[in-house]
Amino acid sequence: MTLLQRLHPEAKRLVTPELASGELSRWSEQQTRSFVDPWIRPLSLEPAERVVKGVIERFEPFDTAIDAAAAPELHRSLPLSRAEAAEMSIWRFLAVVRYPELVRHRWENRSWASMRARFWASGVRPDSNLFFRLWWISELTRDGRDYSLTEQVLRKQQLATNIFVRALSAYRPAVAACVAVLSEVPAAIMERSIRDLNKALSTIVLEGCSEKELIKLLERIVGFNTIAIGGKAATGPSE
Amino acid sequence: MTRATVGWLFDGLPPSGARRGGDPSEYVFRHDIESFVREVVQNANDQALGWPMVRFELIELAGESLNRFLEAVCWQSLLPHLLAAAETRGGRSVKQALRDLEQRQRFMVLKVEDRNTIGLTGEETEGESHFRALCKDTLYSHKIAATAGGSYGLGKSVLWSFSAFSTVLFNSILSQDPEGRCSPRLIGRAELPSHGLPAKVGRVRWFTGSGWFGRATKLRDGAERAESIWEKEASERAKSLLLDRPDRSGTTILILGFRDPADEADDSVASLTPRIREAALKYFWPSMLMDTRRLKLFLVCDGKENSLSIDPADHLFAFTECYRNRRRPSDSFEKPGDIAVKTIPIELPAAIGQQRSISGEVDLVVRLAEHGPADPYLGRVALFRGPGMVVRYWDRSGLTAAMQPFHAILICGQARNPRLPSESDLAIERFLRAAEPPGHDDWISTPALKQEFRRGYAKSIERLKDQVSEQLRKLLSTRPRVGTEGPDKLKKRFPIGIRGGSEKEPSPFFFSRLEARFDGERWRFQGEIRPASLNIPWHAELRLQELGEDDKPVESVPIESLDTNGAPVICQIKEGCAHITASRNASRLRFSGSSAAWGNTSGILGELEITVAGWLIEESAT
Repeated sequence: MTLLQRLHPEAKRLVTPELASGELSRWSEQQTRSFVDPWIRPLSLEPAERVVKGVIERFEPFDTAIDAAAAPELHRSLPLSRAEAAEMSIWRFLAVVRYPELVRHRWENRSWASMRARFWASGVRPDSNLFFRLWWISELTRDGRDYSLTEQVLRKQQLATNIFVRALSAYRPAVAACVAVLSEVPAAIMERSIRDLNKALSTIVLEGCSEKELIKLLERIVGFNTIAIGGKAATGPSE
Repeated sequence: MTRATVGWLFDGLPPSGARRGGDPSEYVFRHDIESFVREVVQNANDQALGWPMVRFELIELAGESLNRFLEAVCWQSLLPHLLAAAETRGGRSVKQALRDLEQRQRFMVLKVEDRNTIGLTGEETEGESHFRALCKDTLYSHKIAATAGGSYGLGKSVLWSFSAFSTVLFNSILSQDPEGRCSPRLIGRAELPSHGLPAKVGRVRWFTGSGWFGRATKLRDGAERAESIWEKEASERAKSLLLDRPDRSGTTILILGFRDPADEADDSVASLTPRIREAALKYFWPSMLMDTRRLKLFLVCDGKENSLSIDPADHLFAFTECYRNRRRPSDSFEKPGDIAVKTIPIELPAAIGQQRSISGEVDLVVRLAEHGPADPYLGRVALFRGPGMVVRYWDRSGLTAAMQPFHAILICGQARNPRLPSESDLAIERFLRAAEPPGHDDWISTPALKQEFRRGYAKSIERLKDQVSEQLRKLLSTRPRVGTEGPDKLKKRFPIGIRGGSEKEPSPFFFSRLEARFDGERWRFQGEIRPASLNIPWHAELRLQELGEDDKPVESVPIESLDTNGAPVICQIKEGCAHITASRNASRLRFSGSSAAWGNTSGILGELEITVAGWLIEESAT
């Protein structure tokens, strides 16, 4: 049985252009042995392995729809507490040692810096460890077993990028408000409105706002921005 | 043979009766901790079979553990030779070490263990072998590859010169055992000055100074020598000699009475351990990063094994960043962290016996740095080739008077593309290897170059160094902006926000009364700037920006007007930023101003930050 393991920080040297490009499909167990340690408790990777295989079979390489489909499945397959999931070494193990093929299947190798970050960096930005990002977006947006908000936000890549590069994404009602108000607005207005929401939150305590209040605030911002720039910048809803 | 026949045996003087006062190779290059670490790690690196690993452990022996060790090393058969050598001119350090041992009843040993290396292969005395090169011969090297870091056979002398007793033990798991033998292989070697011991009444028996610890073996001519101990017995003795090692090919070396011969001030574990760490990382970070080598270094501190690595706080981090980004230069080359890559052509003379001269390239990678007076590597170029050992940190900081601070690396030979080196890379590798003096600490004209290459080799090295300097000049010469700031070296920078000055260094300016409010149409702001030093002209830039929920700037707010209340300054607004140039008489500046009309889209306001960045202007730069 394959178990979840930890990858040492020194293993950053395993993230090479060859691994990112697929020239090296995977490091051998012997090559990675000195970089890995058992995790704090035995956690089988068989469910996660099924998810990875299924995603690669079902989706074409670089299909943006992968995120929305894979995120909830990965989250369910890796039952971790938030404290456990905060440990970067397990996500690096998954990306660098166990399933580099999923990173390569999801992201085209256009920039080495971005690809390296998708194996190694923490965070929920698009240029961060793929497994960390998908698991944490699911965690931050799910409502118990309901992952509908996760799927909605990840179906809109541009919207997801604009939300998850900002700290407000850690507050579920803020993500829900963004999805409710901004999913169908033109990209330029969406981008400007999230930026203005972020600005407004420098003078308002975010966690003190309910989803309804945030929706109201966002609708007001979108209204202003639609009048100001809607005519010249709007070309269609964000994809 | 019985176990009792194991001990120390020293060679007698040759028929000529010639004596020696010590090992001449000790005088060829500097023997300090850095050269010691360079030599032992490079030795393992050259003999790597896969990804090599080197582990250092300092052990201080005292009391019962010292007694057990001395018994295991057959001290009683070594001691007469040490005492006799101590009385010779070349034996002063041995004398001192014996006195210290007697007084303190303790001594230090250093255990250096390598793994995934060839090990001490070869017969006892036949043929060329790693065993003979290290454990028997003097000034012999058995390194065949052109990429090897060592080449003279001198490097191993550091092992004995770092031993206060000039005595070193070896335990090796061989990658290929000789016929009829099984690893491990255990042997010791002492390199003392020639010395005499009392023999028959009134007579003295003389010895060359070289002695071996092993199984006493009688030869056909009746002479006796100590040979390697093998298999189970070697394994058992290795434990009591602190030489036990994992069952992976490689060699464990134990240096008896380890001390730094260049610095006798403090040879404690606490003093030596960080110096070993520093030297190992300083010279071998390329080898640790190179895909084809992946050298791993470990250091045991307080019984805990630590893997050595360079973290972003280390001064060496800048060089590792150069190497990691050697194929990805930055889009711009303006701010600290930006990287530029220059390919420098190199012309080499033909090797002797060949017609064609060699044209190739080396890579210069330069990274802009912050000014850091505490950074000993600022303005240095790390030179290295295939083995991934930095040959030299070449100081280029004084190339021109006004130069941006930097770190740089020069990647040569096989290090450019370790997996698939081009023919010219391999030729450059051979050339530079021959250009290294015995200490492997520079590229210069050497006798080896003369033996291997046609005339013109000295010019080639000179031209290469000139071209590196020229590229650095072009890349790094500061172009002062008109009239205000002066070159980087002459200005003091102090970015601050509304919350006060930088925490890293004291600001040469004071700020007070910074305030801002939104009047429904535009931001109004005011404040006061006062330089800490009087009578020095200065320049400042004011910017406004709105912040987001995470306190990061979200949007710049253009300044439209700035009133300086008649102070002796020149103020200009350019692209929404206020530029203030003050004469030496401006000891205090009160300012007030306003932004352009604002809030014309969403009407949402963020928290406003006033950023002031300023410089003192040295007179010579104005």
